[in-house]
Amino acid sequence: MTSLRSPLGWVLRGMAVLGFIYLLGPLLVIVAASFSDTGYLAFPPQGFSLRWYHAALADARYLTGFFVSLRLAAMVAVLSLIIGTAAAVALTRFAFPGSVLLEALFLSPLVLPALVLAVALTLFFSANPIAPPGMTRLVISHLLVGVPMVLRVMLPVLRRVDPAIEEAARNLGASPTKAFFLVTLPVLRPGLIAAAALAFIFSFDEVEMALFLGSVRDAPLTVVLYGAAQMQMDPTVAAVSSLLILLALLLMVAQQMYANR
Amino acid sequence: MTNSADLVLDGLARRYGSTTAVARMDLTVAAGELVALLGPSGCGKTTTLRMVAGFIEPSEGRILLRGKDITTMPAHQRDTGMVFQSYALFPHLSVAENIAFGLKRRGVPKPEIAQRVARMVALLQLQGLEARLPKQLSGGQQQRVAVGRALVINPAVVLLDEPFSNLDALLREGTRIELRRLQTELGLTTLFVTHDQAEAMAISDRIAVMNKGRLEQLGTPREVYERPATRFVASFIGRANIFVSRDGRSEDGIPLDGPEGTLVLRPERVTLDEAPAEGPNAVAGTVDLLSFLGTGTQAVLRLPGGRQLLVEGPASLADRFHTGGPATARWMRDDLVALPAE
Amino acid sequence: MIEGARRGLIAAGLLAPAALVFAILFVWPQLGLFLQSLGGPPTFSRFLGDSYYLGVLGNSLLLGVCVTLVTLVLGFPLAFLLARAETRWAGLLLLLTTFPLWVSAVVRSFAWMVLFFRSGVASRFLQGTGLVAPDFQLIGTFAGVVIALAQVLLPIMIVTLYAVIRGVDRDLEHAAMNLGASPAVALWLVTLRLARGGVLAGSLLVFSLSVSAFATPSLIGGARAHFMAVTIYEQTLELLDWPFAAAIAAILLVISLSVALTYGKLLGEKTR
Repeated sequence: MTSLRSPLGWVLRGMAVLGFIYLLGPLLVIVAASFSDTGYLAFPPQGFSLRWYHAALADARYLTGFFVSLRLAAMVAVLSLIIGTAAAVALTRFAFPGSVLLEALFLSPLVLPALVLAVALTLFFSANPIAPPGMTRLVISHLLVGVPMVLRVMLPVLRRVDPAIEEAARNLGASPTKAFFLVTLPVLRPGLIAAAALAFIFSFDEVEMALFLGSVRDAPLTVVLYGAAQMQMDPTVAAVSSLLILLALLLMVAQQMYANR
Repeated sequence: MTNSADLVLDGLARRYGSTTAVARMDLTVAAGELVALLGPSGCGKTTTLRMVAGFIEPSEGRILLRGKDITTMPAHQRDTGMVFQSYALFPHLSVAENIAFGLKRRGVPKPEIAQRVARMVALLQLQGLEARLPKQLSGGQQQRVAVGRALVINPAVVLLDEPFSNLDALLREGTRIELRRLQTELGLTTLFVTHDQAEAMAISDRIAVMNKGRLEQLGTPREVYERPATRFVASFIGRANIFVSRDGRSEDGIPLDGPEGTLVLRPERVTLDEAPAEGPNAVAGTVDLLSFLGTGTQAVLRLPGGRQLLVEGPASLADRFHTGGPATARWMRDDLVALPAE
Repeated sequence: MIEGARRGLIAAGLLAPAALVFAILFVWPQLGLFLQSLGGPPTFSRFLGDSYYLGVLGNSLLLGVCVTLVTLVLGFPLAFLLARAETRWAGLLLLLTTFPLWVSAVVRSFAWMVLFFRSGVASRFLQGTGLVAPDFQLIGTFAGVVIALAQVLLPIMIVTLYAVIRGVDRDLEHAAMNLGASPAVALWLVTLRLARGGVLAGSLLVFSLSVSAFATPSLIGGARAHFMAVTIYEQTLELLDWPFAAAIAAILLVISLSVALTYGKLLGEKTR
């Protein structure tokens, strides 16, 4: 990269390093602070202890919230993947009038504020109590973003797949169903994994809809954390946050390894 | 050839970690000369060209342009005009603006820019297309704009990176003759990267044959064809039958009358007849394949030892022999060209 | 080949679940939001006639502008270097850059709270410069919200810019330099000129997300967080004034929609 030898190259590099620290530094700060052996949140940390991890794991709210989030995210990921992929296949493999408009409609929740969606759904559910508050409402509400996320990944993936490979499989004697499962599905797999991971992580991390539509009993972890963070600077929150960062790291690595295999 | 060296590569090398892209390359291009860097993909020819342009930094060695050391000079201060394989025309600029780009960067006064652009447009027969965007041009027109953009700045050396590879066969031949004419008329010192040996033979003053980062041979088209320096050059430039001769016999037992060592026999030097093979430089075999090429016929003769001997002869070969039938191949002593010991 | 009618049935079957979800959970509630905001007391005139609420709107728009500028300035160098990197580390660096997107905004905002509270490192640094009062803390300040929200949205800016810059053929930069343009001029005349649509699109996306952001402004801004999303939250869940909350949400929706339409048009131009 000879061009980077220029003064401009050095300026760009300096700013990039700064940007990188800015981006990842706070996450490291929170992990470091969680190990502090002080009764309050301290950075740089003083001493080393796991007492805030003990406190976090002993607190039933966090553990319950974690399992609520896990259940919620798993259901949203699976349902979004099924509904979204089916719609993506219809939009890419079948030509019908209005398909462009329908695609735009399906993708639009991604550019709308989550809070606006949450308010609209709150008003909607209070006028039409088609689902009980709590988990059910949250799952179907999260689908509103989960499905577009799956679509955004799967539409280009499906468009890139050469339909000729399915025809080639048919030509070699596979039935349409066999051809799909033997040829098309394996080609789509990395896309499907990425889509499911995105929907899962969205649902797991989401807080706006969860605040509006969740019930106190079924509060996901982000809602519990949001409440705790608002109250006081509690080192327990740092411990839980660190565990979540670790979880995100594991998920990302797993997704990378599985998708690239 | 004149003595004034315009471009000198002095021990130029480029390594990526433990892999060597270009190994200590020495090359001198004289003023007004066109030298082709020829080799298969991955041989280091494009890396060499990009080091001259300043896009890749050499690991070792020097580059001299008109006697000035430009090894560490930033790309934009070097006086080179490059034609990219993809043309790299600026999609947001018109034909005229693309050609004027380099002149503007050099601070040439506006009236002169207009003049020089107009002259280049006329020279390349792009009249009437000045206001078009690149995407509104045919492939051949785009290629000419790319050439014009590189030439209008009167660079000390013109760098061509596979400039014909995106043209169809018919256009390619005409374009390369046209480019060669322009290059000779304007006396442009040119370094030309290609993987197509016919193209390199057709328009180069000299050819630098590269393989695996190494310069295998440097010479005129006739020299590299008739006196290949290595086995690689012999088989990459044209087609070749290669024998290793010892005590008057090849490694597969064919009696040879010629020098000892590794020998090259060009297919067009071999004749076929029906008479039995007697004495050296003759061998009988079975015709495996006869393909009519228009200008002649190419035959593949399978010899008893298993070797496939390439033969090129007149079109009438196809009438005299048939696939599966016998034939005898013959050649003259002078047709066996020894490679220098490797 | 499957005949037309059967194909139609299959397509309808594949689309039905998504269509159902969107009809019931998207189209209906969004229309409901507008109806709710129009019905009853004159909510829009209340919002637009009250200098406090206009201030909230102005605050959110200003937040959007500031966050967009910060992410653009910090995001472009990173995206450019990642897009043009030739090392095998580039993939890993890109992955690390997008990693924060895997972590909840609540967690990332909390990290800033640790730095921003009175005895936090960032606040103490500012106290040390003597430019602020000794008991100054970044929590509850507009600057604090900008810094934290820009970090939360930076990966989105980088990912957008990365894709756009990758779309610009590197040899165009090389060609410009070969013709005598310095790297900075080549960047300006060629790369930035060709990436313009995408840069604008990324900026609009980040702008739209900042104007409507909730978690970060609410946590960092605290009780003094006068931003649109926080106000909607208060009106809905604390004051229970739903028509008014719906009106504010509708205003936010209109802003986001108009930004999204411009955004779509810009990206469309890029691919043309």
